[in-house]
Amino acid sequence: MSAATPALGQPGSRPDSTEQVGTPAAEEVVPAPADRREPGDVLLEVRDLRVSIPTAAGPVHAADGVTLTLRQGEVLGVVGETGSGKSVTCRALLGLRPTPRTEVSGTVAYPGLGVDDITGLPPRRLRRLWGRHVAMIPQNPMTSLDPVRRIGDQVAEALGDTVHGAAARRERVIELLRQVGLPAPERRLDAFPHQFSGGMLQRTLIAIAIAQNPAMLVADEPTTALDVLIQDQILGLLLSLQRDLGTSLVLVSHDLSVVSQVCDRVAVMYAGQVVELADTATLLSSPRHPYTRALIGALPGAVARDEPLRVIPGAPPPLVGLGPTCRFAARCELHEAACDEWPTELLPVGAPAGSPSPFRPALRLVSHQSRCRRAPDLATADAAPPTTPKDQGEQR
Amino acid sequence: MTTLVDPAQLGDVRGLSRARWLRLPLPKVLRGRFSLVAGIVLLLAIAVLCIGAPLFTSASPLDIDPLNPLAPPSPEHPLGTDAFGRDLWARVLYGGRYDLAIAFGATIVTLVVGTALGMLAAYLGGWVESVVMRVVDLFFAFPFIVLVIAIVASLGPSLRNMFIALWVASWVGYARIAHGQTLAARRYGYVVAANVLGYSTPRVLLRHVLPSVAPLVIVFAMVDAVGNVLLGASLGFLGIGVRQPTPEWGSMISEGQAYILSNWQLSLVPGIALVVLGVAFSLLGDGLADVLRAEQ
Amino acid sequence: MRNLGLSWTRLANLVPVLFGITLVSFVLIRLVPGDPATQILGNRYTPEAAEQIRSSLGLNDSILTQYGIFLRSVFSGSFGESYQYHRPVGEILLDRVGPSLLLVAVTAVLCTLISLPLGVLAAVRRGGALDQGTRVFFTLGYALPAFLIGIVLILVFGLKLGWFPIGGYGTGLGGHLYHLVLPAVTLAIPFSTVLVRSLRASTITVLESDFVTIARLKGISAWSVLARHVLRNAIAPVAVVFGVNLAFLVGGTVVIENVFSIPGMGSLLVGAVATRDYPVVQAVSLVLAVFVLAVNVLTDVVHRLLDPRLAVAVTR
Repeated sequence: MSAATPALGQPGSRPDSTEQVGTPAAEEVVPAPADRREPGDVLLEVRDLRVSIPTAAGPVHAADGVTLTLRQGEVLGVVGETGSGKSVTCRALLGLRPTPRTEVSGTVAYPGLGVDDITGLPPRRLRRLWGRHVAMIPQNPMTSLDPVRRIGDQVAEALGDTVHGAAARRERVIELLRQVGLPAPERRLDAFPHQFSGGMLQRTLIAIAIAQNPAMLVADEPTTALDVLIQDQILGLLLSLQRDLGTSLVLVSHDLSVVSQVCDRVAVMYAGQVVELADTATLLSSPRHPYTRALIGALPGAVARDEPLRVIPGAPPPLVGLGPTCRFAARCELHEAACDEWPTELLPVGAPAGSPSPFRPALRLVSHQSRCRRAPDLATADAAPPTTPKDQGEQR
Repeated sequence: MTTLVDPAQLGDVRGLSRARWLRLPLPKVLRGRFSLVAGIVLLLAIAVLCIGAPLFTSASPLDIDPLNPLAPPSPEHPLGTDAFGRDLWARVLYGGRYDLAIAFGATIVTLVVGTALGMLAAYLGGWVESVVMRVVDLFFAFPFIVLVIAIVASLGPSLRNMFIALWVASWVGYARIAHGQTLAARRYGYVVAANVLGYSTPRVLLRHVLPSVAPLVIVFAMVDAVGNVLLGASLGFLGIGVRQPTPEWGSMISEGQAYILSNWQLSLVPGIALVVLGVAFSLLGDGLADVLRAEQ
Repeated sequence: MRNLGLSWTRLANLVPVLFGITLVSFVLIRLVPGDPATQILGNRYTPEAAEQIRSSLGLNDSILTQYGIFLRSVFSGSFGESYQYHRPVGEILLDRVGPSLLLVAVTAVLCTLISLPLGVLAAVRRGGALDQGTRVFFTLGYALPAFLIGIVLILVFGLKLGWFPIGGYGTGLGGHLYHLVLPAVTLAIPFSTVLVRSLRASTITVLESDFVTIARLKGISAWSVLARHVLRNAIAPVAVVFGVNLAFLVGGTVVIENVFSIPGMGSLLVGAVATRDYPVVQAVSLVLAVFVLAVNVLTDVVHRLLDPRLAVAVTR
C-alpha cells in the first residue's frame, strides 16, 4: 500500500536488476552504519512490508503487510507452514528478493545501524550492510557454497577488510572455523565443499556469517536439510555464538517446538501475514490466535501417548488475490460470519506491555499482538490451557 | 545433426514467441504463437513462389542470352541477368525448388529411418542395439559435412548422390534421440503394461512408445532441416552438389561471387532467399517446441 | 596425469573408436559403384592404369587384406599415394594441417572473446536490450550459411574498405594471422551464437544459485562475485557444448577455406573430390575425425579442471 519511499533511493536506479556491474560509485550511499550494541535498543524496524512476486497466475503476495521490530541481542522466531511467506519475508529483511521483478514496499529500517530504509534498494547499494552488519545462514548448506572454490578461500572472502595480510587472514579463517566447531580447521582450508558433510558445510556457512561479527543474523530454517542428530548441534552452536557475540538472531522455522525452546519472542506467520506476535512464554501459555492454538495443539507433546497426533485440517491458501479479511477463516474452528467482513489487523491484546524476556531479563519486549477478531474470546478460553489435550479436543 | 546443438534452445522460451499482439482469428494452437505462425507463413510463401514459379515469371531459368549478360534490373528482368544473360528472378524462383527438395527430401527420409532404427535398437536391445549405436557413435566422430563430402566423392558429385550422402550420414542424429527417448519410455507404466498384455512389438512401439519419442524428434527435424538446407547449399557452393547450369541457391551464390563488386545481387539475392528459408524452419522449430512444451 | 582428469583406462577406451574411424574411412571409399578404377580414371582410362590402381588399392585381394593394407598405410603415416599429386598423402597433409589448425585456433579464440562478455552480460541484464539483441542474433545467426557471411565480409571489409585480404594465407605468422581475420570472423559468427546462448543459460542458472546469494551477502563487489563465483561455474557446462559443436566448426572450415582460398585440409578435400583423388579424401576425413576426437578429450580435461567434483570422480 504505502509506496516504497527509499530514503536512500536514487531516481533512475534499476530495482529490477539483480546484479549491477560497473557502478562502484553508488555503493557509498548507505552511510557507514554506527554500530552501537546496547541490548534492548531497537535494531530493526519493519513496517507494512509487502513482497509481491509476479507469476503467470498473478502477483503472489509472499509478505503482505508485515510489521515487526527486533532488538539488539534478541532472538526472534518466525514460525509458519511451508508457503506462509516466512522465508521470503526474512530474506527481505536483508534486501533480498526472490526474483529481480519482485516488488517490495513498506519500510525495512535499521535504526540501530543508522540506516533509514533499504526497501527497493538495488544490491550494489546494500553491500555496506551485508557481511559487516547483517548476514544469513541458509536453508540448504549443500548448495550454498561455491562448488569450485576452496573452503578457506570462501571463508576468507567473508572477512571483508577487517583483517589485513595473507597470514593474518589465514589465522582468522582458522580461528573462525574453530569457533564453529569444525575439527582440525587448518587441514580443511584446501578442501572443496563436496568433500564436506552437511553439518560441516553448515558450520562453514555459520563461520562465513559471523566473520565480521554482524549485528544481525537471519537463519532461514538452518537445520531442516541436516540429519536429525546434527540439527541440535547446529542449533546449539548458533545460539551459543549468538549469546557470545551479542548478535540479534531471526530464526525462521516451521517447527514451533524448536522455536519455543530458544527464542525470546515468536512471530507466527500465516499466508504472508504475521498473525500473532508475543514473547515465547506468553505465546505458549495464552495464544490469542486460533492458528497459533492449533499449532500448539499439533505439537507432539500436546497429546497423550495413546492419542493420534492432532493435525490442522485443510491447507493454507495460495498467496494470490487474497482479500483483507481473515485468511485462516476456512480452517478456523472459531470462525463466524462476522469474520468475513472484518479486515484483520495486527492489534495489541491484553498482555502487559513490555514484559521481560524469559531468557534475558534485561530485554523488555513489546506487547502481545494478534490478528484475530476474536482474540478477546480466546483470552477466556485460556482458563483451560491449550497444552491440556482433553480440553482442546472437546472444543473441536 | 548438421547444425549446432544448443541445450538452452529447448528450455528457453524466446521473446518472439511471447508476443501477445498476435490476435488473429487463428486455430487455437496457433494463437499467440508468433514463431509458429511466422514460420508457417514464411515457408508457405517460399513454397508457393518456388513451386508456382511459372506464375511469377515468364522467363526461363536456363535460357542463355549472350547479348545481355550482367544486365541491371529492368521491367523485363526484375533482378537483372547473370553472366550468361539468364534471368536472375527466374533462377531464384526455380532454384528454390532444389533447396526445398533438399530440406524436405533429406529430412523426412532420415527422420523416419533414423527414428525407427533408434527405437528398435532401444527396444530390442542386445546385439542390434550394440551395432546400431556403435555405428551412430562412429558417425558422430566425423564432422558431418566431411562425411557427406566423402560419400559424394565416392559416388560421384550429383544431385542424386548428394541426397544419398545426406541420407547415409544424417539418420544418426534421429537414432540417438529416439534411442534415448525409447529407453526412457520403456520404463513408463503404460509401456510396461502393454508388454505384459502381450501386444506385438510394432504395436507397442507405434502406439505406446512413439508418442513420447515424436515431440523431441520433430523439433530436432526442424533444426535438421535448416542444417540440410545449408549443407545442400554449401555443397552447391563448393561445386559438388547441384551443378551447373541447374539453378540452386548455393551454387548461384558461388557463381555470383566473381561479380560481387559490380553485380552483388547475383550472390546476395539467393543468399537472402537461403537465409529466409533457414529462418522459416528455425521459427517453425521454435514454435513447435513451444506448442509441445505447453502440452506437457 | 591424474590431475588432468585423464586415466589410462579412459585413453585405452579411445582405441576402438580410433579403429572404428579408420573402418568408416575405409568403407566410405568402397561405396564406389562398379569398378573403382574405371570411376577414378574416367576418360583417362587405360587397362594398364586401371590394373595399376586395382593393385595399389589392393582391389584384387580380399576385403580384409585391403583393410590391412589401408591400416598399414595409416600407421606408416603415408596414407597411400595421391593420384593427383603422385606423392604420399601424408606429405601433402603435413603442408595442409598448419593453416587449418591455425584457422580453428583463431576462430576458437575469437568465439571466446565474443561469447564470454555477450553471454554473461545477456544473463546479468536479463530482458535488457543486449539480451533481446542476442536472441534475434541467435535465430538469424543459426540460419546464416557461413559462406554467405564470408562473401559479405569479403565485399565489405576486403573489397570496399580494403582493410583485410580477401584470400590466401600470407607469409610468416603475422601474415597468416592477418589473412585469417576475415575467415575466422566468418566462422565465429554462427558458432558463437550457440556459445552465447548456452553461456547465457548457464550463467542464469548460476546467478540464481544459493552460493551466489551467500557470496553476495558477504558484501563483496558484484564484479568479484561474477569473477570468482559465477564465471567459472557457468563456463564448465559451456565447455561441453563447445566440444559437442566442435565437429560443426571443423566442418565449417572445409567450406570457408574454399571461400577464402586458404591452403588447408578443407580446400584439399574439395579439390580431391573434383579430381576423384580417393586416398586424399580418405585421409582428410580420417584426420579430421581424429582431430575432433582429440579436441573432445581436451574439452573433457578442461571441464574436469574447472569442476573439482569431476576430478575426484575419475581418480576415485
